[in-house]
Amino acid sequence: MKQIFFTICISLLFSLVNGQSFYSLDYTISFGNDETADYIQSPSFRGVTFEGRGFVSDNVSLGGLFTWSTFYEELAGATFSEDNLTLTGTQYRYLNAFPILFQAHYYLGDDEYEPRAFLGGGAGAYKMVQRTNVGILSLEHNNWHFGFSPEVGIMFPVSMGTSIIVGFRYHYVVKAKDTMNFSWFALNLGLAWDNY
Amino acid sequence: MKLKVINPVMIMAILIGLVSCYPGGAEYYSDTDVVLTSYNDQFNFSEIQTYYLADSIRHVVDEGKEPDRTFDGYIISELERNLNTLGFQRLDTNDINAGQQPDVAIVVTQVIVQNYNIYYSYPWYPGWGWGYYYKDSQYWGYPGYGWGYYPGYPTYVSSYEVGTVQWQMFDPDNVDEDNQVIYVEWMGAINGVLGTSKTGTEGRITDGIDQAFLQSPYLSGK
Repeated sequence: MKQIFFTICISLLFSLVNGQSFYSLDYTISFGNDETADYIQSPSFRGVTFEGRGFVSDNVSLGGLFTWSTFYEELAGATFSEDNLTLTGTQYRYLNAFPILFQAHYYLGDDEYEPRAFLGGGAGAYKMVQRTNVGILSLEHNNWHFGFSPEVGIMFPVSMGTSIIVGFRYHYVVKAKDTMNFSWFALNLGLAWDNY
Repeated sequence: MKLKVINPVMIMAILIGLVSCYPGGAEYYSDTDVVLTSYNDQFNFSEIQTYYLADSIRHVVDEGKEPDRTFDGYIISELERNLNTLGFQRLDTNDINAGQQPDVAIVVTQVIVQNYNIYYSYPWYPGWGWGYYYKDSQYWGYPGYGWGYYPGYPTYVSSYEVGTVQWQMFDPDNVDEDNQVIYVEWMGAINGVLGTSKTGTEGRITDGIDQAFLQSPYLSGK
């Protein structure tokens, strides 16, 4: 895991110091999928993404990404049964996701002053902190996972060296130990700054 | 080579903004209330006609503390109300002394502890199962421990009082005389952080006991 983290950090640094590069800061809205949606149905409106990308050719960039997304849901007076046991209590469910990814993207077109669509993805480490509070009890899973994240998006230049970036991303996190499979869709909206 | 770094003030502002809107959790004492029930699926609850409910509640408190019996009568009356609603008839000590034997007996325990919090490993359900209680010469089924002690699960500490009211239903005929064990046919427990309001506490007791019966439809033979 340390090697993955180190690789991603190097990639991020590379993207920042490279002459043809940009970084972006995005507001992130996330929507749980599959088991994640079963656990928390409400979308996450608490999220931020920071990423840096450095171009290795006119159409290809490498880089790194860090995201923090928080899912939350309150289940008031929820009743759950298992075998002959039934438990009723208000549950407070939290899921904090911290992807740290190495990324690669391909860009359509080569005019940096025109909107450019891109597709790509990332892979790397996901720190997942899942906590359920009910009554005075608290259950927490706190693990590192491996995961990957395909993405499509588009960049709209708004001024010299600045673009609006919109991306749609899918995160899939491989199960670790006795956790569930985490997956969610993320909509990113932010600003990208060229690094001159 | 120039390294252009994003304005750190902006980053901090965004992160602080995110942290400041971090989702909350329980706000009121009643938000911590939990109702738990468990039963023996081999037991025929539809045959229950009479029950014995002890007048007193066993209290388990921290060493050096005196039991608070403020709500004992209220707890007993709420259990009685729900049991009678099911059509069960309560037998008192005079009936027992006259030779009547109840179909089931119910004993109640209240546990109040301080600095009580629990971390769980999945699943969060504790190791509830069919416990057993040693038969005492005076009473049925007083355990040597209270609800909320889960062997094998670690705990963490905080500083508020947590109360639990638990009750167990026994069948006097389902007794292991040799090993002095009485098996539990049904149990219920309500658990939460203790408040200071008498009416508020009574409301929580009523809600908790009502919920325990509501989530135990097998008591009425269903």
